[in-house]
Amino acid sequence: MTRQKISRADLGALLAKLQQDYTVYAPAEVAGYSTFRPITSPEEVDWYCLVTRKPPKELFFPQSETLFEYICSSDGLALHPGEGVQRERILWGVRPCDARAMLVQDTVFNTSEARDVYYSNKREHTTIVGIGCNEPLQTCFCTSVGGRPFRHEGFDLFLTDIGDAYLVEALTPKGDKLLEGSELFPVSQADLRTAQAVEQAARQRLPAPIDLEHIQKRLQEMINSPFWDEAQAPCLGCGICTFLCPVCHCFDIVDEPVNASCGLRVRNWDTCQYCIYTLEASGHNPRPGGRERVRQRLMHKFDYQPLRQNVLGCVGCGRCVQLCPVNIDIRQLLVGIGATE
Amino acid sequence: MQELVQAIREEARRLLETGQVELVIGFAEGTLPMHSAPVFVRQVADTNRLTWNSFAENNLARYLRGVRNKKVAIVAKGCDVRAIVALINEHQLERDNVYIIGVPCRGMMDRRVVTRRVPGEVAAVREEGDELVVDVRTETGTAPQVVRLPRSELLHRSCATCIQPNPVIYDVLAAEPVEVWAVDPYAYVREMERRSPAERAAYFAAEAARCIRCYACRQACPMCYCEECFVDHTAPRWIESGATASGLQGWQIGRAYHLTGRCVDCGACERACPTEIDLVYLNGKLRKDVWDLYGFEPGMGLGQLPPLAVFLPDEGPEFRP
Repeated sequence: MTRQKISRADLGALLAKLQQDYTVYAPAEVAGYSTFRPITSPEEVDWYCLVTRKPPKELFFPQSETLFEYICSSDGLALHPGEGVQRERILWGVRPCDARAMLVQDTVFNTSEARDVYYSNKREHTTIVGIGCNEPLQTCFCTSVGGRPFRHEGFDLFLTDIGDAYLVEALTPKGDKLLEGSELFPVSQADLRTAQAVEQAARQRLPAPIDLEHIQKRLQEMINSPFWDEAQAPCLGCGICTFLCPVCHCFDIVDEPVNASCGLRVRNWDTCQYCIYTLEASGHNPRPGGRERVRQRLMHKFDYQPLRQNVLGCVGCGRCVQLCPVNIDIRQLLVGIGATE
Repeated sequence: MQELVQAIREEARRLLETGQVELVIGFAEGTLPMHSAPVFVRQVADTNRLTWNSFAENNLARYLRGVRNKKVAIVAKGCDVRAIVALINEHQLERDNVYIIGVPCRGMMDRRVVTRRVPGEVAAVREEGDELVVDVRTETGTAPQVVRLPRSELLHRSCATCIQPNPVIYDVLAAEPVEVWAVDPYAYVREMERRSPAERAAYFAAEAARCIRCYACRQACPMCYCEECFVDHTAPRWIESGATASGLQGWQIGRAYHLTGRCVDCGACERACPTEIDLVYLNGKLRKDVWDLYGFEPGMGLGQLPPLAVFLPDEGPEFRP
């Protein structure tokens, strides 16, 4: 696809125009921080937010989602699924790490063997507009785990901020459709050089790749390692690192009765970090302590997911690093795992 | 500050060397600016990892029940010690098993406030007297910008109205006691009380709506120690499980109520919350009620009877613990 150029003002106008036909979600302020939410005007968009507080996964896999309503009557049992998303949606300003995480979510919820209708309905009705990361944060480590700050995969349209304008690239027919009728300019050699310099500068701020094969090999050998005792010692056992992870996708399904004859079947986020996650009806808990739970998080991301789905369970967004209340830093854990013998 | 850190390290070293304790719980440097990390030190050689600064924000007392049959030392500021006292009074800890390295506290700074006061990502901070000096990260290749902020404007809300910055009990004090500010600990609650019930309900609903049920508030709290929390109980289930208004508000109300007469106002819940929900006013309201009814603040002295956990045969409406 060819790159074109759009001025800042025109990009805002384009977004405003798109709102007529789409529901637009973008990073915008909520109670002092930025996170994805529906916007009513382009002015609300936080263009410079690299890592939203919550990842965009909740727009496809909400924290709580009603799967269907059940009604028991003299005619028997009736099930009423929800309508799903009807109106087309745009997810605007997604960063490459989060887009990569969505592709991982696809390997769980949207495969040829298992297609989750709730998830795929939202995926199908959503156009994803990405933006490259000019100034990655200190907590960003996409490059350590195989990502790049200007990676295009997973997007329909991709934006590169070159200062006074954006380079815009439609990557799919859905992306093309967004640009219909907007005023675009050809890209000059100078623009391309600027874009290259921006990417170069971004990469310089990011860490070197880590040896993921070595990490995986070590993990397979260290299930009984005392490393996990040390790693888990300060862990509070809360759900922040998993709930705010763009890749984590565990859920629990419960029935919420409305009255004796009807109710809702609901899917809620769940996390391997909770003590009741693996608690069995017998009372036995195969992961009885922090040691097993902290280990599970690392094992799943860096061993089980690569083995089973051929994807890594971590995209290096750094949310767990930023928000862990006791500063458990997954980058440090990986260094520690790599150094075990 | 350097002398304080030295005092903590030396005491930890002495305790481990003499075998007086097998574990020291304190703070180490974090991996990010404005973060300190709780650390479990078992080896003398690791005592050099211990540190202290104005971001030692967690209440370390929450770890003590997990090691309560061991001899343990803890680096504890005023609110951590209040929690220890409250836990001892609730028969959750043995005083003899805990060696308290008390730290008089000048208040912890809120990194979220700092972040919003500077024009970029915080690269590094250092404390100079009553100021926090912040190096702000700018474009690649340019020198960081320096911003100086007065610490009084950066304190966590619970710290700004702290009534007990000095440890109420200790085995050793790592520095001279600090001056206690004459503050109204319930000022924020009074401000809330002046709002109409409808305004308060709307505020509470909006705050609770951001909850993601990660339970970091519960997990960070030294006084939330139930073996099974009411939200984790499935038969019967007490509240709705999902992220619905009733589920989220039910959790927030249940959590706060269970801390009535027990919350030591350390603010650890609010600091842990990833969606920055205003939690201290909920606990604050209940603390104020307990103060008004019983003249009681938890964790202020060993042997205090918790008013809502004690029944005295001769008590009347005028009950005072």
